[in-house]
Amino acid sequence: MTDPALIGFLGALRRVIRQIGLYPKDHPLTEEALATALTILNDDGERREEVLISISESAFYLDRVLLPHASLEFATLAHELEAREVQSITLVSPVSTSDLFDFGAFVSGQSDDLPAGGTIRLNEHRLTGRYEGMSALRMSYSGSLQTLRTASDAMAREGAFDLAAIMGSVEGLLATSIDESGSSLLLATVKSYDEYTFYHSINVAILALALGRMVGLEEDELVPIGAGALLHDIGKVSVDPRTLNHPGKLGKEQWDEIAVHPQEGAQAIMAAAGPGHEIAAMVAFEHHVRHDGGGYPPATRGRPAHAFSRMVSVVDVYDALTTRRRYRRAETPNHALHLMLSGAGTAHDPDFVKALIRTLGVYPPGSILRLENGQVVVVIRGHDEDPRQMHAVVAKDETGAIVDPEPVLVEVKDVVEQLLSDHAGVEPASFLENEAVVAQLHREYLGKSGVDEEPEATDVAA
Amino acid sequence: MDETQHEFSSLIEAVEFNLSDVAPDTPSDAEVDPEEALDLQEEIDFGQGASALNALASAWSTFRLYPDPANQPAFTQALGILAELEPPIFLQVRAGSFAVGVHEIEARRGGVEQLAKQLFLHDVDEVRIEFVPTADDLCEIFRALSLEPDEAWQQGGLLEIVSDIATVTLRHRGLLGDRDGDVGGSKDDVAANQRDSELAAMVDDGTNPTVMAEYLKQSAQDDPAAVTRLFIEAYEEIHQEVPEGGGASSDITLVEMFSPYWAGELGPSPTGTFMDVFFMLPHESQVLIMAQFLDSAGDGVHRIFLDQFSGAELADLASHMDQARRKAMLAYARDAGDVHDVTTEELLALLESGSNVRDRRQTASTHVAELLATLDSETNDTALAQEIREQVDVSRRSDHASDVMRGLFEVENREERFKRLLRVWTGHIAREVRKGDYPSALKALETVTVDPPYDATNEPSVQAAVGRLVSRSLVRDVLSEMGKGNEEATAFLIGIGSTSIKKLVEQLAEEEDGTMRRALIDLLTVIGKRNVAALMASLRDPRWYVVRNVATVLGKTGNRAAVAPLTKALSHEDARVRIEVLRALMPLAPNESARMLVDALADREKRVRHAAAALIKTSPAPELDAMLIEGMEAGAMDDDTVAGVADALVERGSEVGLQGLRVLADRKFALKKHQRAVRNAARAALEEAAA
Repeated sequence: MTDPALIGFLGALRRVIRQIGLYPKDHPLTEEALATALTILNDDGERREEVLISISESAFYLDRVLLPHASLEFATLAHELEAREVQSITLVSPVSTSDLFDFGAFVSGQSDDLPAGGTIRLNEHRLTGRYEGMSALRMSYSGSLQTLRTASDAMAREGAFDLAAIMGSVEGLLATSIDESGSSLLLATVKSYDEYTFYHSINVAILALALGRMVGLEEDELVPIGAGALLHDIGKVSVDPRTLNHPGKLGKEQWDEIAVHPQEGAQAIMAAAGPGHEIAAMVAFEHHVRHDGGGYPPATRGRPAHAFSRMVSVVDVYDALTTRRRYRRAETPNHALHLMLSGAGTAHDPDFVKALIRTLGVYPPGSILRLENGQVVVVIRGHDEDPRQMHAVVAKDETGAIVDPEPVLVEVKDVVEQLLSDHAGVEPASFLENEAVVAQLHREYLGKSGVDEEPEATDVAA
Repeated sequence: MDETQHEFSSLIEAVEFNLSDVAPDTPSDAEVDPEEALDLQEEIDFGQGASALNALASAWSTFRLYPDPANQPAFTQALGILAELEPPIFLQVRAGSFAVGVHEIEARRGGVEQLAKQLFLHDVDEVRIEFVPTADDLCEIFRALSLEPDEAWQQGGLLEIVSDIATVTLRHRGLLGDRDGDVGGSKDDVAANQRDSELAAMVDDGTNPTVMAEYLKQSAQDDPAAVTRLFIEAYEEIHQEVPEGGGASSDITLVEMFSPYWAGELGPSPTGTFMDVFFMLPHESQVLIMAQFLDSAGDGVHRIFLDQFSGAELADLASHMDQARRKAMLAYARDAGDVHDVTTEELLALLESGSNVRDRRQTASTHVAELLATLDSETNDTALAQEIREQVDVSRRSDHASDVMRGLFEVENREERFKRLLRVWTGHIAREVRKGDYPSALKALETVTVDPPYDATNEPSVQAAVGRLVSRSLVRDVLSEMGKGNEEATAFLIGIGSTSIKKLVEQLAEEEDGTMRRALIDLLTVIGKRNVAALMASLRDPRWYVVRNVATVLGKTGNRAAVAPLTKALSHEDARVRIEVLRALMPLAPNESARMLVDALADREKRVRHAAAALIKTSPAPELDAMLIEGMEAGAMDDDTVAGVADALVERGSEVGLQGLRVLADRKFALKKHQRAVRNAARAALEEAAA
C-alpha cells in the first residue's frame, strides 16, 4: 500500500467509524462508506497480501515507517484507536465487508467484538525496539489537538474545562515553535475539515505566537495571548453542529446562534480561571470586533479591541480565508493577505496586517506556485534579506509529474499562478520531514544563530 | 402484392431512415449536417449510434407486427446493420428522443418514437450494445419491453428478465444509492454512464476542472449561451438527484450526501468542482450562469451555488448584470452574511457601488506589488509590542476581568445563561477574596453592581447571587481582615454589603458569637450610613429579633431618615422591639423622642415602662420635664412608674422638673388614689434629694 493509499484509507476508515456511530449497518451512507474504504483497500495497485499499520503515541506507521503528516491529519483517529488499545492493524487482502464493519463498530465503541473473519487482525505486530517518533513540533501540535478536544468535551458536558492543560499546550507550542520556527509556519498550513475548529485554533495559536515574536514580545508575554488564540473559538462548542456545518451562507437565526460564541467562550474561560485567563477571555470575547468598532458581540461595538485581541483576530481571519470551508472555497495565502490588506483600517488593524505580511512574506510558507518554467513549487520560507525571493522546493516538474523535492530559490517575478492544495495535489505540510526541506529550514536557524557551518543533510535528518 | 405485403412495404418505408432524418441537437433549429458539426471521432460515434438506433427501431417495429419477426427480412436487415457496426455503442434514452453523447436524436419516425417511449416507460435510460446481438437476443429484449411495467416488475424487473443477454444491456434510471445495478458493467460504469450530461459524468469521475472547462468551451463552440446551458444542466443533474430535505423514497438529504465531500474525505465536492470550473470560463459565460442562478435563488440547490461566492466575487459579477438581476443579488445578499470577511453590509455596499474588484485568484501579479510595498514600508513593531506589553501586564489583570465581565453582562439576555454568568461572576469574586486581592474583588463586584449593565428585570437575580456570595465564612474572613486594619477589606465588604444588606442582616440574626455580632453591627452601621433605605426594609421582617437588630443598627447610623420608620415600629407587638426602638430613636431624634418616651411610660408592658423610665434620665430633650409632670398628673402611669419618674426628674435636676415636683408634693387635696400616689412620690423624691 502506498502512502497516498494509506491516507485515503484512513480517511475512508474515519468516515466508516463515524457513519457506524450515526446510522445502522444497512443505511445507504454506511454502505457507501464501507464500499469506498474497501475499494481503496482491495484495489491497491501494489496487490500485497498483507499490510501492517501501526499506531504508537498518536503516530501512524506503515510497515514501521513513520507517516508524520498522516499522523497529524488523522490525529483523532489515532487517538480513537489508541483509546481502544489498538496498536497494530494487519489487513489481509481482500478485506471483507463484514470484517471492516466489525472493526469500525469496535473502534467507535458500538461493539466490543473484534473482527472474526481474519482479514483484519489487531495487535499481532506491535512496534518494539527503536523507531522514529514524530518531531517535537508535531507532537506538540498533536498533543494540543487532544487537549482542545478534551477541553471541548468537558465544556459541552459540564460547562467548564481545565485551563492549566491549555496553558501547558501553549507553552509546548511556543517552545517548539521557537526551536523550529520555520517548520511551525509550514505546519500551520495543516487543515482538517471535520475538525476544522480544533486545527484552526492551533494554527491561529502558532501564527499568533509567530506574529508576537516578530513584533518583539517575550515568551512570558506570549503565553496568555497564545492561550487566547488557542481558545478563541471554544465557545463554538455551544453552537448546534448543524449550524456550524451548514453548507451555505447563514440565515439570520443561524447567524444569531453563531454570533454568541465569543461570549460563550469568554464565560467558559472566566469560569476555568487560572493564570492569564483574563487575557484569554478577552481574546475570546473580542476576536470578532472589527477595527472600525463594528463586529460582535454588541457590547464591544464602538470600543476598540485590545491590541492582543486585534493581533489574534488578524491571524484568525488569515487562517480561515486559506481554509476550504463548508460554504466557500479557500483562498491562496497570497490572495488572503491581499484581501486582508484591502480590509486594513476597516475590518482589520492595519498595523497587524502589515506585521503579518512581514511575518509570512508575499507568498507565505505553504504557498503552491506555478513558475514560468512550468514547475510547481512549495514555498518553505522567506528570504532573510530580499523579500522578493523565497526559498521553495520543487514538487512537480514542468510536465506535472511529481518529483523528489529539490530546493530552489524563487523570485516573485517568476510566479505565474497560485494553486490550491486540492488542485495541485500537493500538501505543503507533508514536506516537513523531507530532507531538502529540513535542510532549508535548518539553514535558516543556523543563519539566525550566527553559525556559519552547515551540517550534512543526513546529519540534519538524524 | 397482397394486403399484408403492402402493409409490410409501407412499414418498411416508414421505418427506413437515413442520416438526414436524424438531426443532432444544435443551437440552431435548422437541420445541420452532422458531418459539419462534429469532429471526426464524435462524427463516427454519432454515426454509429444513429445507425444502431435505426436498426433497433426497425427490428422493434417488425417484432411488433409479426409473430415470427426473426424470419422477417426487415429484422434480418436490421441485424445486418448492427453487425457492421463497431461496439460498444451507447444510446441514452430520453422522453421522446435518444442521445449519443451530448447530441440528441429526436424521434421523428414512428419506430424510433415507439421504441423510445417503451424504453422510457420501463425507466431505461441507456441501451448499451456491447457486442453484435443475435436475433434471439433482440427478440428476448423486445419481448420484455412489450410487457407492461407492472408485469415486468412482477417477474423481477426488466433487467432481471434480460439478465442473461450479454450482447445488449439496459441501464435502469435510479436514485443515488438505489442502483438496480446492471449486467455486464462495473459499478463505476454505472455511476459514470447513468448521466445525461457528459459534464456531470466528468464530475462523477473526478475529472480535473481545467479539463472540464475546456470540454465545456469546446462542446459549446465557445457560445456563452451554450456554455451556460451545459453548465447548469450538469449542475442540476448532480445536485437534484436527492431533494435538499430528503425525499419520500430516500433517507439521504442533500446535506448528508455532500457532507463527506465538505468534510474533505472524498476530495473536492461536486459543488466545489463546479465553482472551480466556473472561474475558468469566459467572463461572459460566468455572467450568464450567475444570472440564471439568481433567477432561481429561492431553490435550495441553486442557492448553495450562490453561497460559494465571496462578497467580492459577487460584486464583480454584479457590475455586469442588468438592473433586475442586481436587485436579485441584493435580495440574496440581505439574507446572507459571510462569517469571516465580508459582512452583509459590506457586501451590499460593494454591490450597490458596482465596484469592480480586481483580484483573481489565478492572477499572481495584480496585487503582489501592494504586498511588496507593505514589506518595504516603515514598521511599527516597537509601538505594537509596547502597546501589547502594557496591556498584558499583570497589573491590568483585574481590569481585563472586569471589562470582560461587564461586557458579558451587557449582552447576555438568555435566562439560563444569565444564571450561569452570575455563578461565573460570583465565583471570580470569591476567588479574588480567597487570594486576599480585595481591590480586584471589589472592582469585579462594582463593575456589575454600579451602573448595572444588565436589564433591570435581572436585578433580583443579581441581588440573590450577591447574597449567596456573602457567606458566613467569607464575612468572617473579611471581618477578620477589617479587624487588622485592612482598609481594602473594609472597602470590599462595604461594597458587597451595600448590595447584600439583607444577607448580612440575616447573618446578624443567626450569629451567636458576641464578637462577630458586634462586628456585624459595626459593618451594617457603616453600610447603613450610605444606604439606610435597604436597612429600613428589614423593619418589616416578621421576626422580632431581626427588627430589633435593625433598630439597633439604625440608631447607630445617625441617619435621621430612619426616624419615621422607627417611630412606626414603636407600635411593634413585641416589647423587646419597642424597647430597642426607643433606645435607637433617642440619639436620632432627641426632641421628637421625648413624647415617645412619655407615652412609653404608660406602655402595657412593665419592662417597656421600666426601660423608658431609665431612658428619660439621659434624654437631652429640654421639654421632657414638663411633659413628665403632665404625664404624672394625667394618671396614665402606674404607681411604680410615677415613683420612677419622680426620681428621674430629681436626677435630671431641671428647674422645670423640680418646681413641678414641688407643686405636686404640696397638693392639699388628693381625693383619688392616683393623685395621692403622685403626691407621695413627689414628696419622697424631693426628700431624697434634700437628704
